[in-house]
Amino acid sequence: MNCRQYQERILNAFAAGEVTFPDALVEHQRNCRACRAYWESQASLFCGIDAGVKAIANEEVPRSLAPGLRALLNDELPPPSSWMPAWEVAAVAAAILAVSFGSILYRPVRHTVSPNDRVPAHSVESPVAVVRRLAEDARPSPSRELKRTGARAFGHSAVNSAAAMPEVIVLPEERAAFARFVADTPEQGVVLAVARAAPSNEDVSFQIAVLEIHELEVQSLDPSWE
Amino acid sequence: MQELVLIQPGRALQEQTVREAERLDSHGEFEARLVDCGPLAYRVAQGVLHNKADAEDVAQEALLRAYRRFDRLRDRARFRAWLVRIVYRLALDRLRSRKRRERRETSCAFPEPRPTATTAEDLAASTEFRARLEHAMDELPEKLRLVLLLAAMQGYTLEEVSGILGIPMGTVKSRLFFARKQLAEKLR
Repeated sequence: MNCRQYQERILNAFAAGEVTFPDALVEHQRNCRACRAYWESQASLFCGIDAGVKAIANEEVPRSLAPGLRALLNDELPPPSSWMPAWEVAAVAAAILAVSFGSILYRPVRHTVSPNDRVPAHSVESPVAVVRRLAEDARPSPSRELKRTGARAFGHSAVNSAAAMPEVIVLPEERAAFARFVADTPEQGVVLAVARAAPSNEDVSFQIAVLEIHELEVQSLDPSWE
Repeated sequence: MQELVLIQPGRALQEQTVREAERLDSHGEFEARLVDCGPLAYRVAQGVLHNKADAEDVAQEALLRAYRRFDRLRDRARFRAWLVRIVYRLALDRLRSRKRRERRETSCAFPEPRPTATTAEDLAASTEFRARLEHAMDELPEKLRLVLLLAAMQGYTLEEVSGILGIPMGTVKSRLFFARKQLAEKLR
């Protein structure tokens, strides 16, 4: 083997990452100055290559990478979808409210003959007044003051005495908005609503009383949807 | 009592709920993989592009693509290999377009000075050598370059590189050999 062939073997040995070299190669580079110089230069070069490639391959990962990725993924992940689009839910809720108002306002006054009935049979009282009076009766007795907060307005005492009242079953996701709506209603007592979750696991038929609705105004309950 | 009850499409709702849950599970699983795959994606991109901003951009794009197609990946154990391929292809595309842009903007040839440092530490530390090394790596065939990068990454053995790339161990070793040899010849 001549020096060129030895140098080729030296290059291959370093490229293969060998840690031990053949005896013949070691022996030759001891006696050949040119091959020894080549050996040393290749050893230095491959050390540099290894260190450089390692430095390139293990670059410090910028701290912004993980938060940036999470932000991208969160943007990518759409919000949990309901079984109806939000605007439909809002529209349906508003329609329910409107229908319930309609049923309260246009409900014929019942003339009962019960002696406990405070409304005389012959009197003609406006439906609003009847509802307001019933709401008054529903208030707890010591304080006689129904707080205008949603939670208190939907208390059990109100539920029990509101048996004759129109009941609006509000979707769970609409309950908070409905509570705010009731709490903010200036005519306290006109609206007496019982909020409870609609059955979710079964198909329930849609029941609406035949009503005449005048001047129906549909509004979103949640201001953020506007 | 007057009751107004909305019709709820029970079966459709259940199916939608199941789909929603699956999607969230998938999202959670993907997020868990980001911990070790984010740096991997970045380093592969950086190894090709040698530019931090571009590498971060490409890594994010690749992970986003992987996320969008995550449900299509049947064998989740092959996720890293799949991601590495996506990152590598995107990084190469970015590199090519950058080179085209650079060629348009300047007609200057890439400087190729001779190494002046003598020790390995000096060589590695020298920015000049680093620039030459990066240039030499860019000229390597794609297959060799990727093996060289992955094998040099901390925490990845040759067996893991073989697993990530889905190639036999012998192929990994031979590609590594040719990559190192070609680098040495270019940097001589």
